[in-house]
Amino acid sequence: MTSFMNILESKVLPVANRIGSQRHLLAIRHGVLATLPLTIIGSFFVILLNFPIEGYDEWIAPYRAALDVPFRFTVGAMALYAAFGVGSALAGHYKLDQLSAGFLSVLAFLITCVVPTQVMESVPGVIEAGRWLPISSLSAASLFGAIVTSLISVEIFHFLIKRDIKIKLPESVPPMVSNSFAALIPTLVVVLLFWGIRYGLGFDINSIITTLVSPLKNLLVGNSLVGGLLTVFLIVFFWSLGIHGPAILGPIIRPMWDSAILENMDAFARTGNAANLPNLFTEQFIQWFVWIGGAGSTLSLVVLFLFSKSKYLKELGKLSFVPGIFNINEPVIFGAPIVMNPILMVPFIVAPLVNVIVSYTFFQLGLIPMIMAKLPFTVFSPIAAVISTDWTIMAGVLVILNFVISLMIYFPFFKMFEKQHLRDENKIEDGPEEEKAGIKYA
Amino acid sequence: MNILLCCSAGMSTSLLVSKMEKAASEEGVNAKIQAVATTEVRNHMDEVDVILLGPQVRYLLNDIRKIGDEKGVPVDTINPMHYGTCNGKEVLKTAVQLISK
Repeated sequence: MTSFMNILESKVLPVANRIGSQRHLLAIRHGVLATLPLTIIGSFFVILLNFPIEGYDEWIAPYRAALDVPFRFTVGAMALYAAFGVGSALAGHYKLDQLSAGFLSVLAFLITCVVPTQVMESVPGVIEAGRWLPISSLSAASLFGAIVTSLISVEIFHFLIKRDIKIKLPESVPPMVSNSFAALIPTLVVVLLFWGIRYGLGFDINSIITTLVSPLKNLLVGNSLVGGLLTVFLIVFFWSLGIHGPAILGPIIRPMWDSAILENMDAFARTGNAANLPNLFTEQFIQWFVWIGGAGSTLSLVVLFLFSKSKYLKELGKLSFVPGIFNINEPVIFGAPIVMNPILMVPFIVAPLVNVIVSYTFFQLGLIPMIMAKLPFTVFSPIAAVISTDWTIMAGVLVILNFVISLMIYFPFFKMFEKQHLRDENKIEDGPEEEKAGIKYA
Repeated sequence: MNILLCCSAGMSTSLLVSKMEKAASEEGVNAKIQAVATTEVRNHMDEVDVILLGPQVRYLLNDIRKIGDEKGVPVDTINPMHYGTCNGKEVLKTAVQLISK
């Protein structure tokens, strides 16, 4: 078994390394991840707009338009920020001027994804004459277009700078001034290219990329049980080899996850009905219903450790309990360890998959709605589940049920593992003492 | 001595930081210890003496070591067991050994 695990690791690690350090994929992950604070704060406003209190709707009605503004310019303009983030992150890798790269990316994105509308005649009380931007084209619907145009713009920037194709000024010109000229040619090239593609060739990059990505997106983060199980399996599989699963899958799944939850938030802001949103298997669905205590539903294992007869496991349980409440589980993953451990790996993979199926069933039966908000991952699961399903108490009940189910799945494996530990602890009198010296309360 | 710990988001290694600081003060070692996300490691290269990666991001070891080599900063991964049990003393020892090498 151990040699099998070693072979598995030696096969997976290089792949993980390649994905985890590929510069474009890294830029996508970092750039999109950088928008996190905005979408979380935007999320608060969605919650604020929809409290399940009698009369709240009427009371809030006069302020609704104003309260919508913070949401609209965070979640609703997500692709704009992602364009800047991705471009800037890739420029950081190339050691280019990140600010210029960010501007270039935003420029390319706007030309590609936003078509200004001209209103010739004012309609009193509806719209005034002038030029308008449809703000919905800055939303997650343009996310994939934003990513691709940003990567291309920064590649162009990099290519031109590397070939030293820029306007050269005499040496007497201060560097600050000549630097600002360095981005002139790249800007011109980016404008001409993306403008030419969109308005010359009539080619809409965003809708084509979005169409290409959508089968995979619908499978992984949409409403397919198989897709939900696949995502969860891949993450726990990488974790069981001791590799940060979401970090490896991030470049591929992160933009899909983000656009899925943003589509949900957008639809919810429009309809106020969480039962009928576009995507079931958002990152948050997995986060709150499946990763109870962290990936692998490990809080249940930590609780079992708390009551273990093994001194080591009991100490580890104490150490991991508080981080576990906040969904941080590296201590138990590496401390037990679950990594490369043929016994604990089984429930670590099986329990989350069962949790997915149970949660999916709850949803199908109409007991819980879809997720309409994005809370920080460190919120205590049951509370987060209730809030982010538009205050559905049943969501909290489901979290507790899933916790109990994973407890039962972990239990027999925990017993086996504990037995091993007890045998070792009784055998070696001095060894474990030294090990334990470092383990005290977190 | 300036020690940099690094994991995916800098969150789980921050648990270890306080343990290492405690171990350092007990042993009278003057150490500044901080935890950052993998994305930020490059920005700290110039100010640290050693970089330790959390085992969950050990797939980045080759890459970060390459950058570390240029600056003469040793880079290694944290022993998973020490990491899991937040064994500040042992991790501090690893850091000290890497620097003195």
